[in-house]
Amino acid sequence: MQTRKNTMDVAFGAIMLFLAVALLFETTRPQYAGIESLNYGFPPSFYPRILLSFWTVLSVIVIVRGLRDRRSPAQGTQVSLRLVGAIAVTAGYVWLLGQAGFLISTILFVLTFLVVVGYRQWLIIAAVTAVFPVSAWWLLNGPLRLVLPTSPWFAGF
Amino acid sequence: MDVLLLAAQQLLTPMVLAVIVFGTIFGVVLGALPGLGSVLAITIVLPFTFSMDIVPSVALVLSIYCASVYGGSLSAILINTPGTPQSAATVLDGFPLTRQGKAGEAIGWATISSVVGGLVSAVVLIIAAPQLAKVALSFGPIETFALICLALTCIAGVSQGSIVKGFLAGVLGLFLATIGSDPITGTVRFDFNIFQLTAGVSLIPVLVGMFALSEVFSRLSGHGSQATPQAVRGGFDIAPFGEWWLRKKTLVKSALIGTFVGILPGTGAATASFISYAEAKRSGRFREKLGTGEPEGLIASETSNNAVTGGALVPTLALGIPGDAVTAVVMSALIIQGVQPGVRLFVDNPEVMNAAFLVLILSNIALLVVAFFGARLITRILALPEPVLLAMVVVLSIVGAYGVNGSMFDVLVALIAGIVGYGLRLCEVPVAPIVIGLVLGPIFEETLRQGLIITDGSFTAFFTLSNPIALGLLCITVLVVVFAVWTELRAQRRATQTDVE
Repeated sequence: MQTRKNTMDVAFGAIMLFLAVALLFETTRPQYAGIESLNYGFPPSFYPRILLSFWTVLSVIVIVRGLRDRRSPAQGTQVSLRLVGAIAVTAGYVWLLGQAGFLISTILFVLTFLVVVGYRQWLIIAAVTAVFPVSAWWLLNGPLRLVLPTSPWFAGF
Repeated sequence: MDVLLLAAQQLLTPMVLAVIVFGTIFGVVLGALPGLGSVLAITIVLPFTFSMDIVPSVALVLSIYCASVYGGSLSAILINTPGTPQSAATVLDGFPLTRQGKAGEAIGWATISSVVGGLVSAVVLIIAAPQLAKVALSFGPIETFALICLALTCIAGVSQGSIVKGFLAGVLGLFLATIGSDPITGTVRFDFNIFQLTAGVSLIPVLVGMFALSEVFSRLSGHGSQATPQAVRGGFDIAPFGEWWLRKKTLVKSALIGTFVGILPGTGAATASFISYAEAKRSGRFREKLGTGEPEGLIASETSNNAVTGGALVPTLALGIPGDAVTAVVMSALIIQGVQPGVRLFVDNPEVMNAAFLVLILSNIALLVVAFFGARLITRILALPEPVLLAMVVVLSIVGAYGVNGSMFDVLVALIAGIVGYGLRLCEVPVAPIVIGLVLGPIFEETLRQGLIITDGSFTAFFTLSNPIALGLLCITVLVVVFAVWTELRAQRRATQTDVE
C-alpha cells in the first residue's frame, strides 16, 4: 500500500514534469518572442517561463519525495467500475447534448447514470427521469432565460 | 448615505427578496447534504447569474454562501455527519443532543448562533472593508504583486496534504490564466491551434469541473464523502433567554474569533470553528460538559463558522484577494457581472458594495426565518438518495458550463476539468489553489510586468525600502513559506519516529 502511494506521487510528478518541459519547449516558438518595441524588454514568454520553471522544480521535488518517502499513509486508488461507467456516461451526455438537445439527452442521461451507478429503485428512477429533466428544462429555459442546446428535430428543445 | 439608500432601494424589491429566500433555502439544503457544501452550491448557481442584474446575482451568491455554511450543522446535529467541514466541531455536541431527544433544541442553538455570528461579521465587514480599501488605494503594481504572492502562498501553504503539491497547484492555476492573449502585447499563447483557446480558459467551466464534477466522481469512487445515512427529523426550538445569557461570553468570543480568522487568507471556517471550540473548552462556563451535548459547544462552533463569512469577504472585496475557494467563487460572480473586486470597487461601484453589505444582513435574517419555518422539511431532504442527487449535480453543472457562452467547447472544458480534478484529488493535490491561481492570474502577471517596467527590469528593487509595503508583504510571504515547510518537515519527522517506535 505504501509503495502504491509512492508510485502515485512519482507518476503524478513525472506527468507534471513532462508537461512543464513540453510547455517550456512550446515557449521557444518564434511567436513567444513577441515584437521587441512592444515588449518593454519582457516578451510574451517571460512570465510563463517563470511559472514553468517553478512548475519544473516543484515536480522534481514531488518525484524525489515520492521515491524517498516510504511512510506516508496510503489511500485506496482502485478505480471502480461504476466510476468509469459514470465518467463514460457523462462524456456521452456531453456529446449527445450537442446532437439531440437538452431535453432528450438529459432524459437519457439521468436514466443511464442512475442505472450505471447501481441504483435499482425503479419507481424512483422512473419518477426522477420523467420529472427532473422536464422541470429543469422549464426552469432554465423559462424564468432563468438560459440558452440551452436544442435538438434538430423539435423547436424549443 | 445616498448610496446606502440607493442600495436599499435596489435590494428591497420582490425579485431580490425572493432571490435571497431561494438562495437561503438552496444553500441550507446543499450545505446539509454531506460532502456538497458551499463551493459546490455557489458553483452550481454561478452560471445562472449571467442573465441576472448585478444586485440579484450578488444577493443569490451571498445568501447561498451564508446559508450553506449554516446548513452543514443540520446533518452534523441530526445524523452525526457534518454537511460541510466547517461544521465538524458541531458534531461533538450537536449529535449527543439529538440522542437525548433534543434535536429541535440543538437546531435552535445552532441557528441563533449562526445568525449572531453572521451579523457580527457583517458589521465588521461594513466597518473594515472600506477602511482597508482606502489604505489599499495607495497600492501600486508592486504592492499588489506582493499581496497576491502572500495570498497565494498562504492558501497553498495551509492546504490539506503536501505543501509542495499546494504550491504546484497554485502555479498550475496561474499558468492556466496565461492561456490566450498576452496582456501587454496581445500575442496569443498556448492556444495549440485551437480557436476557442485564443480567448483563454473560461473560469466557470473550470470551476464547475474542478469542484462539482470532480466531487461527483470522487463520491462515486468512494473517495468522497460517505453516503447519506437516514436522517432523524428535526424541528426548531429556541432555548429561554436565560440559557443564552449564561453562554454570552462564548457567543461574543466565537463571533470575534470567526471574523478574525475569516480575514486571514487560507484559513477558513473549519479552522475558526475548532479554534472557538478549543477556546470554549478552555474558558467556557460549562467547559466540563463540552462533548456531552452541551449547547456551549454548539454556540462556539456555529457562531464562529458563520462569522467567517463576513470576515472572509473583507480581503475579497477590499483587496480583490480571495482567502479561500468559496470566496474565489464569490469573486467570480462579481467578475461575471463586470465588477472587479479590489481597491477600486468602493470608488467605482459603491452601490454594489453597499448592496452586498445589506444582503449579508438580510441573508442572516432570512436564515432565521427559513430555519424557523422549514427546518423540519429541509431535514427530510437529507434522506434523498445519493445517486439521484449526483445525477442532478451533473446535469446542472453541464448546463451551467454551457450557459456561459452557449458553447459546447466550454462543456468539454468542464468535463476535462472534472476528470483532471478527480485525478488531482486522488493524488492528494488541493484543488482550491488552482482556482484561486486562475482567478488571480491575470492581475498577478500584469502587476509583475508593470512593476518590472517601473523598476527597469530589476526584480530586486521590489525588495528595497523604496517600496516598504511590498517589502513587508514579501518578507511575510517568505516567513509563511519557511513556516509551512518547517511544519511539514516536523510532522514528517514525528511520523518517522512513531513508525520506528
